[in-house]
Amino acid sequence: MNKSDLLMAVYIGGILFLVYLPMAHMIVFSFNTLPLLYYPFQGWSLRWYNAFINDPGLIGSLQNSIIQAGITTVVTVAVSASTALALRRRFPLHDAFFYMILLGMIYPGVTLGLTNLVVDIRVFNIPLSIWTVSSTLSVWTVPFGLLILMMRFDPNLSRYEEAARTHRASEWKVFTNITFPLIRTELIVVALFAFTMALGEVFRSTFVSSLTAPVLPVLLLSTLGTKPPTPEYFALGTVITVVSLSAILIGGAILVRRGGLVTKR
Amino acid sequence: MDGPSKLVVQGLTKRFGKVVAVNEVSFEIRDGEFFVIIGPSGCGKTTSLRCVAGLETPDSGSIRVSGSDIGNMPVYKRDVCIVFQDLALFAHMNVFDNVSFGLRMMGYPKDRIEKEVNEVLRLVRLEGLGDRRITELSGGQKQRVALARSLVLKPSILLFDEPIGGSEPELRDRMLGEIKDLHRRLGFTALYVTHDQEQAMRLADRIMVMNQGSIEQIGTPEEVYLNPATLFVAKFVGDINLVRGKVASIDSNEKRVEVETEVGTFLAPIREDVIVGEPVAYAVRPEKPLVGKDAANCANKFHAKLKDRIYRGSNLEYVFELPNGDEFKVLLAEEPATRIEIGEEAILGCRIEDSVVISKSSVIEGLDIDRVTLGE
Repeated sequence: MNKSDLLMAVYIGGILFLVYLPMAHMIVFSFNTLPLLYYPFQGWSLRWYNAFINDPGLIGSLQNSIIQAGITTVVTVAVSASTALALRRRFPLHDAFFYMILLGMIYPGVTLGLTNLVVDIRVFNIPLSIWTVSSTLSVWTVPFGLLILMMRFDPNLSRYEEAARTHRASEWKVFTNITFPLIRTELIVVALFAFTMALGEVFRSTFVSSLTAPVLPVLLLSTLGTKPPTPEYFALGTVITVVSLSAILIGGAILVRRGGLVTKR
Repeated sequence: MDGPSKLVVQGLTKRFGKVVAVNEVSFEIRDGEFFVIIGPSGCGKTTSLRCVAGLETPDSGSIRVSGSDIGNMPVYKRDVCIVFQDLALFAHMNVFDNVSFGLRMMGYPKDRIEKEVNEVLRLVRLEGLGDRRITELSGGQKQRVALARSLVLKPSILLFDEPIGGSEPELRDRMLGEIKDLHRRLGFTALYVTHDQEQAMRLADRIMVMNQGSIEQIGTPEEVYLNPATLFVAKFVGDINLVRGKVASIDSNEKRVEVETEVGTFLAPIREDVIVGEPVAYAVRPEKPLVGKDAANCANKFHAKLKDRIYRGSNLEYVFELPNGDEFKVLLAEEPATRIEIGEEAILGCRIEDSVVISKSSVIEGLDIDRVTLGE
């Protein structure tokens, strides 16, 4: 190993250490017998997993979060995909439309949550639920989805669609046979992105989450204010991490096998 | 070729904002005819083709295929196919799925699709390559897949949008030969768009020359080459020598026009659009003039000084300077009997039947023919 290889190894090691140390810490201390988030590590137990599984409030909010993130993902994929496809054509106020959608990305989170609260409750008289969270978060996730799609679309997509049209494909068949298969990889990327954003978002959710059935980040933030945290949170974090990691790995494996993502056309 | 009309386009106009891409264009293509639209980029040839396919919506005009108006028909219902400039083969499908695409969209049964696709693959010499991915094919194979994808549908009209523009010359020649051969064997009706006059000459039964959205001339390759309607056509299709002058007299008995120029008086076959006293150009293709002793029997004789001699392998290009300072090019198969040295004067001769008199620059009003960028 020469000098630059060594330097590279140290550098990569350092980065991995910084990224994964907190995660490793979380996983290890989720198994601690003591209600401590740090040393000393007393011994291995599933005590906190047990506690979290038997905590109906926590489990309920996790469920709410997953459903909410699922709804937000579906909305984000559908809206950003149809918008990105439409924006390939020129139409009146094309640019204004584009920038107005992007606004959702830079709009301050707290303000977005607060104004949605006011509009939902006062203007439309809608009770707060996972749906109000989803509708608020979608305003924020859609522009990210849109940007990802617009950057990654195959530049020849429109040509392929035209070719399909002149070879007997109706608009619907053009979409199912050409457009969708060619943007599927990008849609998966957007879905992963939107799900992650929606699952973890606190600020935008706080104002529009139901008080009786909150989403997980909102519940955690509110309990943190009243009682000290225990390794139960670490157990919860470990479960979420393991589940998401395996989902991403499986998704990634499928993408790589289809030749997407890395080896791009 | 005098078959019934397959495609009738009448008064086709298409604007993009303020730009008129196609301006009141009308033409007919007969059944089984190979029709080529040629013109510089931006002349409206591709837009015309896209209007026929339905990929552009014309602002006015009618398009009829086999007698029925297809103006309001959605693209996929029109009985036409395009072989695209960049081929636009579906990258996520293999060769078989590309070629079978249209048949699958029409919902044909599997065994029939397989039979017809294999037949077409054999026709374009891609037998056994059905499983190949598009990325694994050579340039020529890709072109044949694109051709097969359209041919398999047996469309009323096969549209070609410069599918073999950027290829290397050898490959291009082979593909042109194959397209011509397939046309002879299958007898399809073709509308082919290109900016390349060589391709047009080689493929066309008739050529339509377009310029700035309008038609300059429609005719057989011979008519367009030997009797160009305008200076634009003369210059766009091949090389030509022009001597400017005006019409001195018209002899309707002998069917001749006499053109008076600074170089001398020339005789050319009569044309309807010529008026006595009007400015015209006397024109002759560079391979037509005779040099030295051979020129003796020509009706049109004049002196010119040899400026340059370019050896081109298959022929010799002699560049002469006329007394008025203009250049006059002559292509010769071999050196003339008496060799002419650079700087020497020689006698040139042009036969009447090789001469043309052209009275219009272009169908476009006020077009400065010398400033038009020709070709690509």
